[in-house]
Amino acid sequence: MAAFFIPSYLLSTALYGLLFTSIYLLLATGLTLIFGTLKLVNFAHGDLMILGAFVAFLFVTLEGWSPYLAMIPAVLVIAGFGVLIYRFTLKPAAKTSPVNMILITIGVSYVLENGLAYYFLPVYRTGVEIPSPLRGMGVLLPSNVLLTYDDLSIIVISWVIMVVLYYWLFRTKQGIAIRALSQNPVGASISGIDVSRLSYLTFIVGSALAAIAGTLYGIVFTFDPFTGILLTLMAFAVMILGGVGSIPGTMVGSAIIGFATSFVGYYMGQTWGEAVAFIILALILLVRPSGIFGGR
Amino acid sequence: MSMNADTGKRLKLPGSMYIKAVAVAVALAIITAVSTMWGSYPTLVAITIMVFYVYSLSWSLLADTGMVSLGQALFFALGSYAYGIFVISYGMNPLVAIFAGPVLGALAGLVVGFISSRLRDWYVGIFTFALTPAGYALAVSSQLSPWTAGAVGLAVPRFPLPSTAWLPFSAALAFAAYIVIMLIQNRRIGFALSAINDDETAAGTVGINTRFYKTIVFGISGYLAALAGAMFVALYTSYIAPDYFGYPDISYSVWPVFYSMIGGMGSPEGVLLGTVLLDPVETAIRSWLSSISVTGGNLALVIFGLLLVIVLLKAPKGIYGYVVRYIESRRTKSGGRNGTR
Repeated sequence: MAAFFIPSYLLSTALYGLLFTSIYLLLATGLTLIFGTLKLVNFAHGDLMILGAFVAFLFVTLEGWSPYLAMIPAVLVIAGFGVLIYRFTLKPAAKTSPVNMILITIGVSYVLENGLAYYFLPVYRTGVEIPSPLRGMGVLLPSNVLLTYDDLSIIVISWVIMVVLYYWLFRTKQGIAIRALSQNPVGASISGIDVSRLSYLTFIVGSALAAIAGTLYGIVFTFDPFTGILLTLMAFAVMILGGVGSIPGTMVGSAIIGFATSFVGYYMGQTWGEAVAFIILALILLVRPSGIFGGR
Repeated sequence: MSMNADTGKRLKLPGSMYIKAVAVAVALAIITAVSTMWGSYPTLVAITIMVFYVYSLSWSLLADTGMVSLGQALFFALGSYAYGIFVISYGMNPLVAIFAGPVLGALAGLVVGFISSRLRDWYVGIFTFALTPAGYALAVSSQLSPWTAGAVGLAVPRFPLPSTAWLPFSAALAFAAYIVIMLIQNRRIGFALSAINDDETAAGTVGINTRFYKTIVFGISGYLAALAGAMFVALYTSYIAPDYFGYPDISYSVWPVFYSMIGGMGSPEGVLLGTVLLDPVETAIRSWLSSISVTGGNLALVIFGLLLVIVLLKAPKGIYGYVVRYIESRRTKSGGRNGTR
């Protein structure tokens, strides 16, 4: 425990906490947008994210793109892929019973993970990281902690995207229509909102957020085909902690989960860092199932 | 939450429970006899059928009560670890440990059920799912590694029955699990459970203590899943690995879903049908594809995942739904003929 008070450890762990927070925020916002609007519990969300990271990884390693530029094809591919998955499995799934819906999205996640593993594992064997030209460069903070340019751009990019998303949802006509849809689909369609088109748009935006989160995650952390399940669970933990459908709640939730992951992970080992998110989740479900910011 | 909104009433073949029990006993006996005569590899596959039948029953018992467990592997792995630790660290007789170990699964089930019974629909799924990484973390943690051997896993000693008796023994356990499910369904608790599944609020207003029943069911399900886990290591793998917790690869949590949903939800006979038909096919396809490519096993899982999604979308009653419909249509046809005569 003595190591806990060494400032450089504290600072670098806090920095990791901030990185986790930013990435979980993007991921969980996509999840909560899809759940709030489409009433779809999507257990394949984290797998879309890892698929996005893998697309970016291919563009960086095979085509020599910058990882930040490779985010664009990753977003396009995952958005397109997301539309296909939504059209043929998730949209019909949302109409069945909740049990069937959950099991269908789990099935989709299982297919995506093992499909990726089929192509990925023979070539790369273990986890990979998206190579960044900026690696190792950065600003030296007090007590010899290096804030790399990668860390900095990841944090900046995530929060800029969050601001844009917030503006889109709350200040544009389209965003207001989506929020109307999430509150009352029937009322929304009566007032002339094209529900089907907006549903697709919501899923595309959610998947695009997952792809961005995936690329950013891949720049600083290693990933493999089975990382997606952990990230899905993390996103759910954030979403439930913050209260489903609430963006400020998602921010607080991702900060709690992000910092808990990094601090517990640093002092007790990575597996515990991952597990602590779910221990928090279990406690929240026991005490206040609607989350911190939840209405009910 | 209602499973039945989509899948219709619980699949029920007309006929008394004794006839069904005899049919299941005969089916298990035939599988045992045929695979024993066939050779040692079919015998091994038949043992996995028995293990996964018990495991799938534990899952479908929960699903029948409207609780979808995505972390059933937690109990499975707890059962296998408890069995291994009782035998290795405490020198318990494996024949005792195979029944004593799963008690840990039952206790975990009661705790998980206590929390789950207070949650609505998909929250149960995410909660149970989220427990598997925690279980994995426990298994590989340095604090518990004197007992669990961490990521290396545990090798368990040979089961003290002659190896020809392993399959009959596991078939007997599978039949016992079937009888337990049967008794639950046809007793007061079963009617309470099906009322909860149909409409939980209504069940509550007529005086059914829904939380109590759900907690108890989770305990029973935890015991059965843990028993399957103990059977799996005692009679099949002789080895316990942390990935039995269904993490990071979720396979161990998906298998019971797969057999139950494709076989036919809501009836233990349908689950048997699913396990008997799919387990050997899955084993065969997986070993065939694995012999072609390093990751052929993953390709096989892709195929089975797609099959699960298609069945859930197009035929949510599973194979047994078709069997029931066929028998009923035959019966009404012959009934009509009798009427005209």
